[in-house]
Amino acid sequence: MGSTWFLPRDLHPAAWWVWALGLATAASRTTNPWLLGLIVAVASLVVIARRGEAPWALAFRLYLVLAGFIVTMRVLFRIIFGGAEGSTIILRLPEIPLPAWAAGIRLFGAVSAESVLGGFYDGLRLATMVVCLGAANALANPKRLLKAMPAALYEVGTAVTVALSVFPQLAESVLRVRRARKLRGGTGKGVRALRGIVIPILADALDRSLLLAASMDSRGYGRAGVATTRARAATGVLMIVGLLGVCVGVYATLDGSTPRYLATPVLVAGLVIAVLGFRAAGRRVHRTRYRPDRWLLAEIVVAASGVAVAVVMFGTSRVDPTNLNPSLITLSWPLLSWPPLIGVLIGVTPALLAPPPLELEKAPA
Amino acid sequence: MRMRFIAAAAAVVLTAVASPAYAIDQSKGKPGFCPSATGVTVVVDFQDLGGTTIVRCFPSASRGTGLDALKGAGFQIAGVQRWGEGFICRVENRPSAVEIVPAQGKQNYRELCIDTPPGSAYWSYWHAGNNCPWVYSQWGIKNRDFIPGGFEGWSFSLNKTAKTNPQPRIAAVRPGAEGRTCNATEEPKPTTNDPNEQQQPQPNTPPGADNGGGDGDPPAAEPPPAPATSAALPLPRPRNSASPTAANPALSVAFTGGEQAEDVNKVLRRQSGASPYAPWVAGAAVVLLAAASWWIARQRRRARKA
Amino acid sequence: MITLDHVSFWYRGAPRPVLSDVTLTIREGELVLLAGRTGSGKSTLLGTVNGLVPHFAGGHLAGTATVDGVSTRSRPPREFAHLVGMVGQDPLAGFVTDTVEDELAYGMEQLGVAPQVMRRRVEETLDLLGIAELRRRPLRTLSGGQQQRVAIGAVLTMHPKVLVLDEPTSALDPIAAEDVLATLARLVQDLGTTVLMAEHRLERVVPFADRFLYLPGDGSIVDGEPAGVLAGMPIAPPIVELGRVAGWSPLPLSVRDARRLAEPIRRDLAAGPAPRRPAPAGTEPATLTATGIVVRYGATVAVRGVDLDLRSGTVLAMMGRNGSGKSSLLWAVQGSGPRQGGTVRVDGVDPVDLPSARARRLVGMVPQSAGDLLYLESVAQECAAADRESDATPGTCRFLLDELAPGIDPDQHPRDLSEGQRLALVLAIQLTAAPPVLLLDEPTRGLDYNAKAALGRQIAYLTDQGRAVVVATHDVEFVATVADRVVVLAEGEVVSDGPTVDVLGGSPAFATQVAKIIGPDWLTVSEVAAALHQEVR
Repeated sequence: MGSTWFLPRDLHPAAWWVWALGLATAASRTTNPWLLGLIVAVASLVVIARRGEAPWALAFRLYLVLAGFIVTMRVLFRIIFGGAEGSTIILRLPEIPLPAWAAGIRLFGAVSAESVLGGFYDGLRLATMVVCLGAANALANPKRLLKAMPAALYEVGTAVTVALSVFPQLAESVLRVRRARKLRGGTGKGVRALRGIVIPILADALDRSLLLAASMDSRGYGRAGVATTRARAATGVLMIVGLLGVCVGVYATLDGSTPRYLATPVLVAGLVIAVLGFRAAGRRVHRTRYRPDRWLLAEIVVAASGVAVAVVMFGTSRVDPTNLNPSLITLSWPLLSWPPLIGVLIGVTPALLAPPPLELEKAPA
Repeated sequence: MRMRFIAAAAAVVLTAVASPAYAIDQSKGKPGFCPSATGVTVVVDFQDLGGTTIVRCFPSASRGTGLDALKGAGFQIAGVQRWGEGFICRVENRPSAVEIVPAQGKQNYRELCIDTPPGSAYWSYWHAGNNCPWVYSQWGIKNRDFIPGGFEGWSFSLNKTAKTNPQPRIAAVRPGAEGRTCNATEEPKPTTNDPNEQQQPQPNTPPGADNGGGDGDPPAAEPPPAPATSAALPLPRPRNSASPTAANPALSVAFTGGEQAEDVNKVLRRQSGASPYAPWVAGAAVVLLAAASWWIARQRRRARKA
Repeated sequence: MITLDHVSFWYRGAPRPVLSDVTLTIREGELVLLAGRTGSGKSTLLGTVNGLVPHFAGGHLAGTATVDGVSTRSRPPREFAHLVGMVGQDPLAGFVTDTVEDELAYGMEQLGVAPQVMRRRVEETLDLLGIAELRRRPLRTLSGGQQQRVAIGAVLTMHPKVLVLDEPTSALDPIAAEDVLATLARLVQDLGTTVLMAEHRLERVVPFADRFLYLPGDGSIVDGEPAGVLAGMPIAPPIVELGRVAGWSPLPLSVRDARRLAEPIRRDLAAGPAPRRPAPAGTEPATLTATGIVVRYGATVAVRGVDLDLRSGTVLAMMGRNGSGKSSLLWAVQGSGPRQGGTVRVDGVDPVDLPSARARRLVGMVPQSAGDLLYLESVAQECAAADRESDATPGTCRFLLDELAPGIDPDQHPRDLSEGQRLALVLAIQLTAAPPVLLLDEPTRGLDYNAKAALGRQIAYLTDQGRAVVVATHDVEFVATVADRVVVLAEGEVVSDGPTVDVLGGSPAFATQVAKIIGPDWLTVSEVAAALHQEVR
């Protein structure tokens, strides 16, 4: 095991998603800027250390930009709409009088440090969650994630794959036809010019889709699997009910103010029902996977490190909620205790222990 | 640049930690009842949470909101994160984040002050004119003005319904003013119609719905003004001329002026187990992680070029 | 392995059957070549083998087609996936996934092959086709030949007993085509796979074929040994035509056989004068002069400072492998494509400076996918639109179309025309603007021998009118018959430029079959035939 551990390979995408969702869950439980900043730093380090060179991996910086934008907007909103929460006024803007129907909305006016800070904390929490999702996107190959989908969702996966490859073709088609139009002197405007472009593109797309369908058909797509209507309906109901249960359960778990009986029991019940549904749907599919992503020890380590961060944050919210949501009443630097700090640092494990990604072979220039 | 920022941050942390803050900000307000009609008396009754009831005075000659009164009297409060100080979730760090509140339907409930507290465990807000019965406020604290010479009351409602919400167990009677009649005026109109700033959860029929009034000087018997028209909210009922008066002050529970209360910040720090070093370590970790990211990125870029 | 028993096929509403009463048996391990004009039913016949006809294509099928004892009537094509591997003309359009490895595995995933077996088969197939180094590459970045080999590999991994290929080399340059054909030959030799292949360019494939099916176009089928069938066919590769002219029997099918037989002819011809060709006109001023053309796409340089001059009444053939910059150069010269450097002069102006309606009066172009220019419902409407666009006398386009390809029904939909007819229509539309220079990008793609001969005549018609014509193509035999001058591009640079006979005759990669048999001075059968006739006289 030891000698092959660090050989480059692509980790199971679900492992990265579990890790990232763990961090995101942790971030959702706190507004402490120390912890949020730490989570962003941890996620960034892991992304930089373990991402591949595919285009989706390079999009991580866009998520960082988006995160910055979110924080800025939150603070700006606090300044524009009623920022006088609290007593430390740092800015006095002229208040814009609004008509009576807009009562309850305030434009500008005094801005307090507490309210700006509140906006900052709140925005930072959302931004951190966005960064965590960006990290998952950068680390997990979306196409491999599609492949790792349960057999029941195979059709969806195929549709997405085909759609993804159709878009560049369509774009190419548009370019080609527009160029061809110029050869006919087609500088005309309006419906006729549009038609001159749209008709050949549609004809092209239709031809291609027919060819693709023929190719898929003759290569065995949709080959096996006969299910009765009743079995299909039962499967569908199971899946929908299960997923609803999961949604409600997850919401209740994450939102501390929802009744507890909606949390774990509903979540577990939903999961069980959904798994049953997937099993039932998967059973009528006789397909195999080429080089399926395996779930090895490294995957467990990565996923567990993310889960650990979330667990520690949940645990400390039981004993130490004060620091996770710093008070905004008395302006002071947010306090911090050791458990959540150590907990977040567990999230950096993948940067050290996950195997490095495969280098992408480049197409010749 | 970064180092200077951290140094500044550290300085602020240290001052925040070192500043001698008390539970009751003794620099604001005065312990006990207001001696005169100037100012407003604020009563905080912890009820089932336990602890002594606190009475303090906000000796202000000008008008102000309920929030001004509460803060001006020197109480340490916390509003929920979502609504800010418009919705008080803790007074004097009670219920604290580590204290389990035996609220019905909620196992191991702790007040985290993130969202509005449940109807089974929250601070109910009351007011009263001098010598008048307590009235459950229809409005949020930022939306109503206190009654000069009157009372503001905070009473923790635990597992009570709208009908059984507990009044503060201190009679709204200034010492030396016993036996006077309640000269009720209409409750001051709210400044906004924002329902968010209304007191929630709202009882259906507030006990003693009749409005108390101040004994403003001079205590002129004003004719009851026409009820204010407000589309969004139930109107305060017009004053009953045969108004009841405050409960017998002799039945009030014991109270203090909060002089002995422990410093809230100190309690908080003790309860949270916060370490003064942890923020430093967190800052250092962020810097370290950023440096590591930069270094790894450089290494990988070089490896790719090679 | 494959049995067709009295198979007939009609499209709904068609007056006559595409196939009528076809009966044949193909044994295991045969490489069967299928030839015939466009529209003669080749694709239909191929489709019957795995049930795409009629399950997918529609129409009515009579008689039975069985593969390995299983009738195609009873099951849809997907149930034949493990028996019949189908490879289409355009590999890219048939790809389902986006990387080489995934594509190879796709069919096996559908069949439910065990993962270990799949892994092993993918590795074996990668080696068998010589594409192991491409395994992680996105399919879109591969060259045409690589794509075609991946498409073949993608069906081979299912270990089909029959491989059916529809014009697998039609879009490939000669080298890539050789690769693909060599791969197929190896499959037949080593694995005993039965291969059924339709192909236009017989000269490449005939040497490999065990058996030859010719579809004359009336629904019937001619079946037999390649040499035998070819002797009676109106269409034939140059080697066969040469054999006919020389009166060889049996007809040789490979260059090696033909060289042996051609010994006396070579001697005779060597004694006589070299074939006469019109001397390249070097004195008259060029109609179009292009200097220092540079085309770049980001960091990739497609055309690297190419100079070109075109003279009226001559045909320039532009050759080079896929991606060598031929198309980019043509587009840049025409003015519609990107051009980062260099100048073009036609009549003293640069077409890039003109609006496209005026540029096309100087330089006309027929792009690779000629159908992109057509967007109306009938030939008549297209022609009317062309007259309007060019401010030409109404009827000009139709007149030109009749000159190029007589007898096209004006009410036909352009998409229903054959490849050759559609090309003629686009050519007519572009000629309506009367440009002195005409650029044709890969016009021979998908054309059968007849259509190519027709295109050759059309090009001759253009040069007779004094136009300068450029033809970018892979088709060496076609170049030998039409071109006066050949330019070979590689990596965006001109690597050779000269009269056709010098460029084609002197290079083994570009030599025509006749040149390989007789000698570098002789490029086409007609030249040899003319020389032989003179000698006889």
